[in-house]
Amino acid sequence: MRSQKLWPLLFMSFSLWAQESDLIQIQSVSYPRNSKASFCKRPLEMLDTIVFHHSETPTTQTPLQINQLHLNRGTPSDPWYMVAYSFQVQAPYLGTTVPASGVFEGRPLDLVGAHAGSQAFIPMDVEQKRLWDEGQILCGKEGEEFKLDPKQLNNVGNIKANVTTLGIVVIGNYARFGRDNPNGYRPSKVRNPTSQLLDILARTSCQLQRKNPRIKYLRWHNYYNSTTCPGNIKNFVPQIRALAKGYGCEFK
Amino acid sequence: MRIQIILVLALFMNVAHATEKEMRHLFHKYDAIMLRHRVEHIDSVFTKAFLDAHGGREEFIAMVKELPRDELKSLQPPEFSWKKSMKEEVFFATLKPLGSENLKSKSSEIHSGTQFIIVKEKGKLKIDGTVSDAH
Repeated sequence: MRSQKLWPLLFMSFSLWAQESDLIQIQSVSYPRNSKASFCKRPLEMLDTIVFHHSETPTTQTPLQINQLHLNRGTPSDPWYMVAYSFQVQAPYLGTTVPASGVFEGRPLDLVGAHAGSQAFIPMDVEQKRLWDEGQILCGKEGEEFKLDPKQLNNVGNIKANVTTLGIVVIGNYARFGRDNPNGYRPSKVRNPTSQLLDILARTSCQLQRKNPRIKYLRWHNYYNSTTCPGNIKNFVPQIRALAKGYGCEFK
Repeated sequence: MRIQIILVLALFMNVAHATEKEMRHLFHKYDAIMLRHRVEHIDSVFTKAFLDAHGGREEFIAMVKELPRDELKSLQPPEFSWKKSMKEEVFFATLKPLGSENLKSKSSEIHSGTQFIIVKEKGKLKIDGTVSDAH
C-alpha cells in the first residue's frame, strides 16, 4: 500500500529531472491543418541541418497567426498543410519588452518542412542515401496511402533541402527597410538579434542535437536561396555556434 | 446551360482582369513612394494597421526619406506576380527585385522574396503586411 502511494511521487520527481536536463522549454501548440494538402514524412535520422529564418512580420504575431498566414498562402490547386517551420521563436527587439520570449513547436519534426525553398537541392550523405533508397521518405495526404515521390530528387540525384533540414523561424524582421522589405528596420537604426535571442537559438539548437546527434550544421535561409531572410541573424550564426559549444554542442 | 457557363467564365475573367489592373496600379504607386519619396500616396498604398505597426504614418514617412532617391531613372512599371489566397479578399504578391534580369543572367541562384499581404480596405487593395517567402 505504501509503495503504491510512492509511485506518483517517484514519477513526478523523474518528470522534474527530465525538465531540468533540457536546455530550454519548448511549448507545444495545437495548430489547425489543411487535410487537403499533401506533405512528406521522414525518419529523424534524415536530419543533419538547422536553418534559421525570420518571419518578416511584426514580433507580436503569434505562432498560431503564422500558421494561419501559411494556411492562407496556399491556393485551392496548391494548398499548404500547416506552418512551414519546425520551431517558432518569439522574442522582443532590443529596448522593448514585448512579446515575452518563448520557443514553440511548429510542424512536427518527422514531417518535411517547407522553408528552405522548393527548388533548393543538396547532396545526400551515405546515411541519407540509404534512407532514401529504402523508401523511407513518403508523401501523401491525411487518410491516404503515402508513396515515394521522385520529385524530391533532382536529375543529378540531389535531394530537396527541406527533406534533410529543419527550420527555426524568429518572429520579427531583422533586415533593412527598403523596396523589397517594407517591414524592415529603419536604415539609421540597425536591428540586430539580442544576446537573449542568440542564447535561445543556441540552447534550442543544442537541445535538438542532443536528441538527434546527426544534426551538425547551422545554416540560414539565404544559404539556399537569394532572399533577405533571415536579415542580420545570419551574421550572428558564428556566435550561436560558440554559445552552443558552451552547452556542449559542436556545430559546423 | 452552355450560355450560363460562358457568362460565369466571362464574369470571372472580368473580375480577375480588374484585380490585375488594380494590383498594377497599387505597385506603381508603391514604387513611387519607395523610389521617389512620393509619400502623398502612402494612405492609398498601405492599410492603417500596417502604418500603425511602424509607429504611425509620420514614422513611416521618415523611414522612406532615409532611402536613396532616384529621380533620374524613369519609373519602369514594376514586375510582380500575385495570387488569391485561401481566404476571401486576401492576396499574396511577389515583387520582382529591380535589376533582377541582370542578376539572373549572371547567376543560377534561385530567388525567393518577400510576400506582400494585400487586403481590401474600404473597397481598395492595399498592402497590409509582409511575410518571408518559404515553401
